[in-house]
Formats: sequence, structure tokens, C-alpha cells
Amino acid sequence: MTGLLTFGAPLALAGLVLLPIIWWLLRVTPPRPELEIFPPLKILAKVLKNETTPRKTPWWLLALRMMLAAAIIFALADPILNPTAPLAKGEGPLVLVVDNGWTSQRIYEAQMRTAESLLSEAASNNQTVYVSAFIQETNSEIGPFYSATARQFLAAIKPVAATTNKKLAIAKLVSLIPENTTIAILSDGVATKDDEIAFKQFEKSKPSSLIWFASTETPFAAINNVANQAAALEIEIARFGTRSTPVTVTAFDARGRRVGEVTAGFGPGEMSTTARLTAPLELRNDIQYLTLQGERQAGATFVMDDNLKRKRVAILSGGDDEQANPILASTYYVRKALEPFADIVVPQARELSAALTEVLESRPSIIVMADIGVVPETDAPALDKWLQGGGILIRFAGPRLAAAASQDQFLPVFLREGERALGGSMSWTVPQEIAEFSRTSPFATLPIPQDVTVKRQVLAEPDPELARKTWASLTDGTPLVTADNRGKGSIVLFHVSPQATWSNLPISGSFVEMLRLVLSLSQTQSNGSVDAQNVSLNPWRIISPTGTITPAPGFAKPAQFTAAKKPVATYENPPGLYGNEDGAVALNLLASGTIFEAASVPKLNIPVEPRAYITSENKSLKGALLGLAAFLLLLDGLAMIWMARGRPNSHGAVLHKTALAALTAFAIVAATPMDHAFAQTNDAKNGDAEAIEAISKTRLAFIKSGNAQTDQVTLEGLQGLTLFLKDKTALEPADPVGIDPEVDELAFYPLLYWPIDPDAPMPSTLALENVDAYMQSGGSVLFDTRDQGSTSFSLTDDTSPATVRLREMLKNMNTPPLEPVPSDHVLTKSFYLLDDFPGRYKGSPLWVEQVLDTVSGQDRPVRTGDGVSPILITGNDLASAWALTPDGLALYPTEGSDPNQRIMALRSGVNIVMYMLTGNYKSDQVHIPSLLERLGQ
Amino acid sequence: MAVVGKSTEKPVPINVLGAARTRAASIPDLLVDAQRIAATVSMGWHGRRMRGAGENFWQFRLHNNGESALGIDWRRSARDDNSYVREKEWDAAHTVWLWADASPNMQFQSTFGNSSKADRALLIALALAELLSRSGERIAWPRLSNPTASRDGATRLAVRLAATEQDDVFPEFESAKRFSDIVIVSDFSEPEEEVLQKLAPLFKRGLRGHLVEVIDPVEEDFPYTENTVFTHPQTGERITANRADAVAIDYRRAFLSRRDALIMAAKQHGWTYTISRTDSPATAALVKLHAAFAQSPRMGGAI
Repeated sequence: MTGLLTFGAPLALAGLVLLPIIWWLLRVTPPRPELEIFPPLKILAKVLKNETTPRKTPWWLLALRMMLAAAIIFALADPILNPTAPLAKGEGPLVLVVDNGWTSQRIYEAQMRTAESLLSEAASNNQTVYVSAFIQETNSEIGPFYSATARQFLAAIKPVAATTNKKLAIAKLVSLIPENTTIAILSDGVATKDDEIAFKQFEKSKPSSLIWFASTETPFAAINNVANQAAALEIEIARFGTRSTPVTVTAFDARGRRVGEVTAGFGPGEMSTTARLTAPLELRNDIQYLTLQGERQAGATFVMDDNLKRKRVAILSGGDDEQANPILASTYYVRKALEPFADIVVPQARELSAALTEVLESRPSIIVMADIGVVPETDAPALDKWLQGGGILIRFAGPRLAAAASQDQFLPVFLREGERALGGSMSWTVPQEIAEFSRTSPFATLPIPQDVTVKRQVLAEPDPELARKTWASLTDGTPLVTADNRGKGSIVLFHVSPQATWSNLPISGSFVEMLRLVLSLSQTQSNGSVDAQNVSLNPWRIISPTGTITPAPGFAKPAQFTAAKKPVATYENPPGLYGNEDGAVALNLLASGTIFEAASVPKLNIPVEPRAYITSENKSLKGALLGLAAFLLLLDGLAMIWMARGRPNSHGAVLHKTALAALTAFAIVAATPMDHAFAQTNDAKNGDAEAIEAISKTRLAFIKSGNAQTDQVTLEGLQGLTLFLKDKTALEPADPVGIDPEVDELAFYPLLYWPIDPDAPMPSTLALENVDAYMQSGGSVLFDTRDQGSTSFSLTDDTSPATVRLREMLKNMNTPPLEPVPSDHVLTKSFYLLDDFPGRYKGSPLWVEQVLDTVSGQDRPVRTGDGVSPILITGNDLASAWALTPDGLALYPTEGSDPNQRIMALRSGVNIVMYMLTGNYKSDQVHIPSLLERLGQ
Repeated sequence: MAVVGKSTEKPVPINVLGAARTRAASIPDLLVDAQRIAATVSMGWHGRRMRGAGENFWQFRLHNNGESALGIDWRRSARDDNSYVREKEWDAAHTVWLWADASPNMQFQSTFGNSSKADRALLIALALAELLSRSGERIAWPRLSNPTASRDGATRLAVRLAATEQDDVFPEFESAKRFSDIVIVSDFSEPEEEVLQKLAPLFKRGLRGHLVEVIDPVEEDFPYTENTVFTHPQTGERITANRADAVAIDYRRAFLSRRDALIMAAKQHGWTYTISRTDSPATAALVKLHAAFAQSPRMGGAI
């Protein structure tokens, strides 16, 4: 490390031997030209007259290329520039004292570099060395060492996320070192308290000289404190040194995701500033730590504990009529208002005492009691203890409370028995509005709700304290919301009921805001954290010296948290979160109001020599040399272009060469290893092949009834219809499939044929839900009861089992109103002109969704109307009529004397399929003749 | 690419003569159209189909009063009462000045050419001399022989050429009279300005000229591809082309534009321009020249 220039790979310098060879090669090339006698030389000269191509590479180009080659060879040898100057005078043993408090992180490299240089000098002076740090383990060895060992100990010294206690550290050091030493203090340049006293202790050991390295210039910023205000997080940031750029605070949640960001600037001379991170409460709840961008030290990170986390709210109500009709439940609006901001806890127990015990166990921040008359005596102590510990009890009035007001101790004010009614037929008073909030009220920031009227309330007994306790009042001065403190907690009483019966406050937006403000006043009561007295918590997530959040390292010990005083961050108790994921307490490095000052050179009675750190880095020249090589390559290319200018028709070739050179340059620059490998995410899922198969061709589908025989007939029927469709229409469906609505995706099929088989098991709810969703999202289902005798859909008893089954099924589906296919329905015209839709039977009509509000007139051959009926019901057993052998022969006989019935059945099928596929297209098409006529030939 | 061009020895005119004769034999007798050069009447071998000075009988006509009696043909007049004058057919010999460039430039032959340019030029000149002298025209060679008409003009010319050391200077054709034909066989492989500057005095003098460009195929096609140093056979001047093929198109354009300029200048002055590549037979150029001599020029005003 002593030379001005060292090489990481000196062997590569052997490549310099190649330079003469390269020189020779460059000289030799290009090959000797042919000598040609050419009589029309003058004509050629005219063409070539501007070309001054020399026969040999010009010397400067040669030099350029040699430099290029040399630059690359030197770059490969990895040269490192490390200028050093003699630092210390070699008198006596050298004592290295490294200031490794958290503020030293920013200059750690300079410290190490300087220390290495000092060690090198000490080695050349044959000095013994003591290596110590301000923060280190109590029994760590400090020397004396020889240089090589000292290096190892030096390497072990790292910045620690704690504030130094120099007084203690120096006292200990002085007791260990001999007299007449050279002490080198590698200070981080930031003053701590008792600095003067601390350094004075060095005089005791009578050193020969003291060298003071300090870096007072390197600026940094740190977060002193974060205060949670109503609307924003207020982040107090202190700076050291003159830092002109504004600082940016980034907030992260527990998973390290960025939650918010805010930038604050320092005014001239200002040493601290406040950034306000405005974010919704819910978002702020998620913040676990904040860091200053661009700062790499522990002070730039601030952890926040659970006090800002999502609150738990328990809701108790007196009545037990809630379950039947939730919207009339007394707690309905409270729950709706709080749900977005808090976790709602509702006790399982019906009985009040048990319920109260239950919710207290869940440690809620807030308990809401809706119209509970009296808190049971047995539970009063527990509730009181919870209140004293910081809980907030929100009570709502109601008939029960009004009746039992005087007996209850958990009320902020004394209440009169009974309630007061405002307005009504027997009263002169009118419903009251809410008056302006007083300035001391937590609601002061809220706008006055204009739309709220109160018709009924419970009244407080007049009391001198009443005005202080009132948070909101009505325009006639009677209190609407009162509150009182109980220990650390408080009780808030809304003088109206939590339903909209007494007032319309619960259904107004103000109600939500009020509850939210009360919520923000509360603390989180997690398992054993806030009111912990003298608990010892294990380190959970720790701020590393570089300011990142890491799991707790091995040396971190449990910290003692007392209610009165938080511990100070030390080597063994680094700053961070203590506890576990259920609840943690934050221990931060800095306290509010911290101001950083530059450390001054200690004034001692021994010579103190202030020095600066070796600031210039061990600079690797590799990049610069490679850059130079690339630049030279570029110059070479430019020179080639310049030399070739005026040489007509050769630009293409030159540009080609230049492009090649540029590519080479890029290759050199890009030779730095690339870590980013991008893996193509494979988003294939199971069943993709089936889905692709299903959607790549249109096909008919039926729902498997579960009865093998029925399914067989249906399949044959659909195969027959498919054949017929292929034969007669442009549609060429693929083979029909039977599907199970419980597991198969229905959305791939335009039409589902569902033969109802009363013997088969009832389809599951899931299946029916899927089919319902399919129908709601545009699919159509053709139900076939196959029982033409009973198709009246009346409530008479002569319904067939299949119809009964269909009714059961449809009961749980959203079935639109139905009608038999009217004569002007699109279905009758979608391919063939049909009057009815026979199958194996002829008697049943085809039921479709009723087309409402349609215009049906004499001049229109078809009724208008959008969409396709999601449901079609027939009883004609279409599938049996459709069933054909591959040769086109019918499989099952038709009932009836009409020889055309089968063909009409198939045509019905075609019309239904076409209707599914084309919708109301045909109803537009029927106007084409008149449209053409109107267009005029 | 291997070297394609080489410099050859000067051609020996006598040797060329044989080849010239062979080629000339295949050309029909040259009829020099002499109508337009009435002023330079001279005895020639070919009648002009009109009365005039000559040796052959043309017609008898009645003697006019006042006419010199010397012209009366008494023998014819004795046969009747009239006096007849014997008229003869006008014979006109045409003077053609020939010159073939023999500069070192011309002594160039590439592997693609059949002979050197100088060979070809001399061949064309001598073949023309043979043709012309056979048809009785008077042929001349600047600074070598004055116009003479003889049956063996080409032979004489060849002998004299062999006997005399030729200089490379472009001839002035001082002795050529107005309405003489001049034939210049050269490669004209200089920029058009320089060639035209040499030709300008000849244009001014109202001579009728025939320019024959003898060119080696490489000079026109420029097949060179690689790094090539071009040297001039006469001056030794050198030009390096790093990539000769890169300039080929430009060179060809320049070469042809020079030729076009010369053809244009020739046309403007009623001259003809014939090209003979050494890789194609000389006869082709001779036939073209023959046609140029035979056809009636468009240049008006001479007669």
C-alpha cells in the first residue's frame, strides 16, 4: 500500500511486450499495393485528386493506436492510485483510537484508510501499536500489537449504531496504555457531551504527541423524533454541516414497502427542520420505519412502535335484538363508521358481564357501549383498570341508559333520569342542530355539521365542570358529546342513541369523523407493551449502523424498558424494535431536540496536531483507462472518416468500419459484469391446455345430469344437432361436450343444454351458483324438462317431478320473468321461419325471458330488444329428437303424427343456436329489404 | 490482382504493314467524296462524273463563238459541219493526312488487349493509307511525307516511318491545306480540355478530321480492385488508390464523359470519331472510317 501506483494484476503488464509487435503490425499493414502502368492517369487523377491516402499509416495515427493498446493493457493490469503522505511522527508506541459511534459511518472508509496508512508507517518505523475504539466490547484486547496483528484488530472495528461515551472509553484506555506514546484519534468530527473532560484524561498517560484527525465537513442528517399529529406525521430532522440539498424522508411499512415520502429543506443556518408527512391514518398506521434518502447511518432511520398501529375497537350493546335485523341494530352505524379505521371486536357472549370480560381480554383501544344501562358491579374494577391504563370508553345514550343513568359510574357527567324530546306534536321545541365546537374540543378541526338535527337526548346535570367536559353541544347549549379523563384513559359519551332514532347524527358524515378523531386519541393496547413496567424485551428488528432494518444480531441483548424512562441505545442495545411481531417498542438513537455540533480540537497540555483524513480514495484507474481506450477508439474511427473524406463511394465501407469500432468500444465498456438476470416468468397454469382446446372451437355443451342414460341421449342429440348445423349452416361446431358445472369453466360455451332428470341427484349449491353466474354474465341455458304433459308452470299439483325439480333449482337463481316465445320473437326468425319449437314432443311451448318495453307493430315483422335470453325452458325433449346416427338416421321416434316433426325439431335447434350466437342480429336484418329500398338503387 | 498492363516495344511499321494490307484487302475501294473540295482540284484516279480537268473523255459539245479554238476536236468536227469541243471528265485527287500517335502512352498493352495500342494505331493508319492510295488519293504524314499519290503509298509510308525516328509531339498539320482530310489515331487519354486544346487550331482551319481513339480495355473498364499504385508510362507520376474498386465507377464516368465531350466537339466541327478497342478487331474501326470517308458530309458551304 505504499507506492503511488499499484497494480491489481501486475502480470498483465507483460502485455506491454506486445507493443513493439503491434507497432510492427501497424506499420506493415496495409499490404504493399500493386504497381500498375496506367496511361489515362490524368483522368484518374481527376477522380482521385482529393485523396491523400498515404501509403503508410501516418505517425500520429500510429501513436494513437499505440496509446490505445497501452491503455487497454494498463487497464487490464488494474492500476490503483493511492497517494499517501507521512502522517505521524514515529515516537513511542502508536495508539490508534477510532471513534466508531453511529456518526462515524459516513467517514468509515476514510478512517480505515488513514488507520491503514498509520499502521504502515508504524510498521516501517518498527512501532508497536495499540488499536482501540470508543465503542467496543468491554474485554476486547487493544495491544500492544505489531502491525500485521493490529490490522486484524483494526478490521474488526466497525461503526456501531450507538452514541459514544467518550469519557468512559478514554478512562479505560488511559489505564491500559504506557506513557510516551503517539496517540492518533480518528474522530468523526461530531461533538458529544463531556468531550472536553473526556479528552483531558489523555494527559494522565503523558503521551508525547496527539494527532487529531477530524472530518467536520462531511455533512449528514438524522431523524430526531417523529410525532404523530392529527393530520400528519411530524418528522424532526437535524443536520450536521452545511447541507444544501433538501432531505427526503421515506416511510416504509413492516414489509419494507414504501408507504410515503416527504421532502424538507433547511433554511440558512437552520440546524433542524420538520417534515410533515401527510397521509391517511390507515396508511400512517402501517408505517414501521422512516429513513432519510441518501443517508447511510443509523441516525437516518427512525423506527415507530405500535402506538401508531391499527386500533382494536370492541363494541358492546345492551339489546340482543340485533341479530335478526342488522340494519336496526344499535351498533350498526358505529361499526360501519369504525370499520375502515380499526379492527372491530364483537364478543361472542350474549350476557353483558361475560361479554365485557371477553373484550377486555382482547385488549382493545376503545370499547364502544351502545345504550348499556349499567355496567355490572363485578366488572367495574376490570373496566376501571383498563380505563386507567389508557383505554377509551365510548358510550351512547338510549332508552336503557336514560333509565339507569344515575346509577352508572362510567359516565363523564352526571345525567338526569329520562330523556328529553325535542320537537313533536306535543312540544314547542324544534329539533336542535349542532353548535360550533369549542376551541378546546378535539372536534375543533371538524366543519360544523349542517345537516344534523337532534330530536331526543339525555341531559347532563348542570355542573361547573360541564363546559370543560363538553366536546360538542347543541345550539341551545345542551351538551351532545361529553368526555372526562379516567387515569390515562377517558370516557366519551354521546348523548344520543347510536341508531338514527334519536338524531340523524349516526347517519351523517360527521359521525364518522368524530369517531375517527376519538380513535386517533387512543393508544394501542397490545400484549404487554404500553403499560409495561420494567419489562425486559428482546431485540426484534434492529437498525444497523448503515441505517437499514435487520434482524437482531447476536451481540444485541434484551433491553430494560421502564415506564418512566426508555433505555439509551448502546452497543448491546442497538436502536430498533424490541419485542416481537405482536407488539414491539421502539428504541431510537436520538431524542427530540438533538443538535449536532462540530467537535473542536481538544486543548491539552501536550502538543495536539490536527490533521485531515486521507480523503482521496484508493482510486482504481481501470475505468478511466478503459474510458480513455474507448475514447481513443472513437478518435481512431473519426480519423478514419476524416482520412476517407472526399473519397467517393467509399463512405459505406468507412461507416461500416466505424460502426465496427463503435461496437468494439461498447463491448469494452459493457465488459463490466451484469448482475441482473431477468427470468421470464412462466405464467402457465394447470388446465390451460383444456381451456385452449375448449375455446379454440365453438361447440355445444350440456350439463351432465348424473344419469348415464340421460347423458347418453343428450350427447347423441347434440351430436345430431352438430351434424345438422354443419350440414345446413356456416357454423361448424366441434364435438359437443358434457360438463360438470361444479368444476368446469362454463364461460367457454355459448349455450348449455340442461336436461332435467328428476331421478338424478339435485345439483349442488356450488353448481347452481356457477350456472347462475354464467347466466348473469351472458351465457344461456336451455332447460329441458322432457315432460310435455306438465308444462303449465302453474302452482297446481299436476306438475311433473322434472318440473318440480326445475322449480327447486331455479328458486336459488336469478330467473328473469318468462314468456312463451311470441310469434314475432327473433327466435322464430333467426335461421328458419318457425311457428313452434317441437322436439320429441310437440305440446310444450318454449319459454324465454320476457322482452319488456318492446315496440311491436304491424309494420315490424319482428320485435326489437337487446340481449339474449339467459334462460330457455322447454319440455319437448329436444335432444331425443335431435339424436341422429352419423349417417343421418334418427335414433328415437317422435311422438305425434307430423312426419315433419323431426326436421322441425332440428330446425328449432338451429334457430336456438343461431339466436345464441347472433343475438338480435336477425331482428335488424329483417329490415334490410326496406333499407335497401330506402337507399334507392 | 495481378498486374494487367505492360509497356511494349515500339511497333516496326514494316511488320505492321503486312497486317495492314490484309485488313485493307477486306475493305472495298475507298471512294473519297471530293465534291466539296473543288478548289483543291488535282489529278486523281477516279472520275467525278462531270466535265473538268482530267484524262478521260467525257463528251463532245458544239463549239461556242468566241471560245478558244484550241479545244476543238478536229477529228470529230471533220465528220459534219459543226465544230465540236472535246470535253474530259473531271478527275479529283483528295489529300488525306494520316498520323498515328507513337508516344510511350500508346505502347501499353494489358492482358486483355490483343495488341498494344501503338500497334493498333499504326495498323489503322497504314490500312487506311493502303486503302486511300489504292483508290488514288494523296496521302501524307506530317513532318514525314508530303501529299503524294501512288499505288504503293502505304508501303512507302511504312518504309519512311521505319527509317525515321518518330517524335511524340502532337503534329500541327502545318502543310495541310483547307479541305484536306486529316486522320489522327491516338488514345486521347488526357482530360478533354487538354485534348481539345490540341485540336482547337485544327478545328479552326476548316480541316475535315477523323479522330480514331485506340484504347485498351482496362483503360475503359478499370478492373482494378485492390490497393493499387497507378503510374504514368511517360511521366512516371504515381497515384495510390487504397481501394481501386471504390473509384471505378467515378473513373468510368470521367473516362466516358471525356469521350462524350470529344465526340460532341468532333460533331460540332463535322469531324468523325471512331473508337477501336484493342480487344476487338481493327477491321471494325476501319469499316467505320471507310463509311465516314464515303458518305457525304453534312458540312455545307464548301461547294
